[in-house]
Amino acid sequence: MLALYVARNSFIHRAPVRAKLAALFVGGIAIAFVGDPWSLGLLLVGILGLYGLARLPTSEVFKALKPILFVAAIIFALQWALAGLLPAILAVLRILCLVLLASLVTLTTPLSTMIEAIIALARPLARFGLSPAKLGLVIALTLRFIPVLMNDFREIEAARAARGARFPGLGAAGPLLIKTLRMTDALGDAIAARGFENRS
Amino acid sequence: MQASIRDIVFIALFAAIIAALGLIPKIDMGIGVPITAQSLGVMLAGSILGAYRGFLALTLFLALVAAGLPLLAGGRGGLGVFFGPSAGFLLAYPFAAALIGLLTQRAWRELTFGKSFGINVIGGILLLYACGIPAIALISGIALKTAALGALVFVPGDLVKAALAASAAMFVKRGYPLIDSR
Repeated sequence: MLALYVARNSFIHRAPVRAKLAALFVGGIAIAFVGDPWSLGLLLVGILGLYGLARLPTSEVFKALKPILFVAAIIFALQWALAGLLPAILAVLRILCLVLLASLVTLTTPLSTMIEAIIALARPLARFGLSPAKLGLVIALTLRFIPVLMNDFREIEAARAARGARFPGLGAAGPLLIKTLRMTDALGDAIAARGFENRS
Repeated sequence: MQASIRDIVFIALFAAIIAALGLIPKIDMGIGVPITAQSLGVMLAGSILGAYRGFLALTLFLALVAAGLPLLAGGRGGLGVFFGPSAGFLLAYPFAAALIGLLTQRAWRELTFGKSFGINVIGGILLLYACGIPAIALISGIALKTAALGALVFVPGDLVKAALAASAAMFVKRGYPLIDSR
């Protein structure tokens, strides 16, 4: 599976992940308090400058923004209609700054480093029954399940298409779900049979 | 409370199901608003796994998204989405699954399609919107009413999802129940 990380050699890439997360946290709060469009615009330019310093291609900026454009457009239109142009510009600028800043951390941190940081942050979850060993197992299982599920889905769709079905159908969804639950239970038994449970 | 291996595999399965639902192409409702299947996963996790496992499945899913996997609908992921307009909805996912799970467990013995549908509306629509809409207002600095107005366009699609989740919950209850009837 493809992660969002883009490998480059820059000081932002080399900065420790905790420092980046802390900077993001502080920066995010600061952006929420800036209420003047010129300062926000300046901040946006500064953040884009960081993308340059991290040697990220311009296309990454657009990729980071693409998913929020639709919502940003709705917010802009509604805000313009109900509160005026200036608040609309402020709202969209603020969203752009926040999303670009957070995406910068993701783009410059390898997935494995990020997962380690998250496991460290998730240590309180041990209280809810997820010890670090189980957390590692559950992450690995999830990443393995995704292609398996997609494959099952494609197989059933192909079988339906071969029988002349034209529309995506829900008829197979129930049996597919039960089949998957059964497979998962068997997998759990297999893991338990290999003695993982005792080592929790 | 300790998660058993059986809990672990089902938590992983549903985190993966939610990710897979994000890969299904967006369906256009004809009113210009694309709906994604992903919040269906929240409802499914709650109504099939129950509160504890549903909560952890969604927490795990969000952790993987935060780590930088593009698992959200449309290939989104990374920390950016937690600072974007839909952050409130995302962060409410585990709690919505937990509420749906809790109510489903309560009603388990006499669960009907209608009850399950109602439960999914409460957890998967009311709770999610109650967290998501103020977050939109907060992050973009727009009025609460404006944000609520914008979110209204997603309600029809979400009602369809609640119905789908309820029928799946009934199907699994008959065929392969995972929630203990206490």
